[in-house]
Amino acid sequence: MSMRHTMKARRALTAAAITTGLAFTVAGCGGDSGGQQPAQSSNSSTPAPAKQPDQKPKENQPETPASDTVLAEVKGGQNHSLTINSVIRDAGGFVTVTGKVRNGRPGVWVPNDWSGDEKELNTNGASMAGASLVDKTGKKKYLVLRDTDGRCLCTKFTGGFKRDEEKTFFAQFPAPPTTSNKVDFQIADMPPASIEITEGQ
Amino acid sequence: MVDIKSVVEDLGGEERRSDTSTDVTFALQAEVLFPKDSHKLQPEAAARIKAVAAEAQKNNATKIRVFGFTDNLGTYEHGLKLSKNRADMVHRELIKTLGSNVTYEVRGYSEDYPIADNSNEEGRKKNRRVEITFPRGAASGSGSTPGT
Repeated sequence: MSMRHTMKARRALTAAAITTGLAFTVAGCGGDSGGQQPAQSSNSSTPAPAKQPDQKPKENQPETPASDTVLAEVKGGQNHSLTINSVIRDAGGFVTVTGKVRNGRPGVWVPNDWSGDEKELNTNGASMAGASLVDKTGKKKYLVLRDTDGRCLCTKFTGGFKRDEEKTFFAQFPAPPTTSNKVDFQIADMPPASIEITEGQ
Repeated sequence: MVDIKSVVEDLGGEERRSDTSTDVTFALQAEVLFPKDSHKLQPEAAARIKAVAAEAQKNNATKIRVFGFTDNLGTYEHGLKLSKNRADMVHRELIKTLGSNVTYEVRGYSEDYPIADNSNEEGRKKNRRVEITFPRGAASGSGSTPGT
């Protein structure tokens, strides 16, 4: 009995440690990128509001709202829209994508099929678990990162979407080689969104 | 202990590689290795299996698991035989490259442990596979960016 509680506590602690570590990774990005990606919010040529991206490490919220820069936007499914705000390769060998999803249905939407078709991931429910990065040049598909219990390193849309509601998301992937910086972000029946991976801080 | 798993697939789904901090698993689609319902290795399969063997060598693996799986069509017993025979054939191919210091666990799991939904052909195709798993070697490079 107590053994099981200890095991559960250890697993929770480890998962939290991984999440927190990744939260720091995600939160630390998005600032001055040295001009490599002209669309970054810190570049003065962007007409977007001069709001500084949130740089404070948020302890338990890897879904740090990214800058309002739109790197890609696609519309599909039942008129839903998916916007990509940042695509950062970090030193740990992962790529973190952040963005927003807006419900295009004239009513409530629970994106259960967005968890994809892997049995390993089907406990994530309505989430970004079915997302992947497609490298057409290298002919590889990078599936969403998950822990060995099948939890995705991505946003779960608990409570679904109300009519017209928009939610932010993050999703993490193994990093393609640095020679493959142009990839497509794919999820469910949404059209692929062409994005470019930028280096993290 | 909970670990992070990286999964990268070929665009066509023929090969899928999973990496954790402890293990590396290559799942090879049955269609690529064998004709339908057969365990006779196709000529093109040898090169693919050899490449996996090379990765095992890179990781200094001395214990390799070779597990065969089928979809859920046909009887469980038929699946058991087929998946074991297929795993045996892959094993036979691996030992052509790998040394005598390597030990193997070779099994057929029939339709157990599906990785995709058996209710459609796309899912069944993914479930028909042979998995080659070995421990990640200390000498191997940056863990989470495989397939460079």
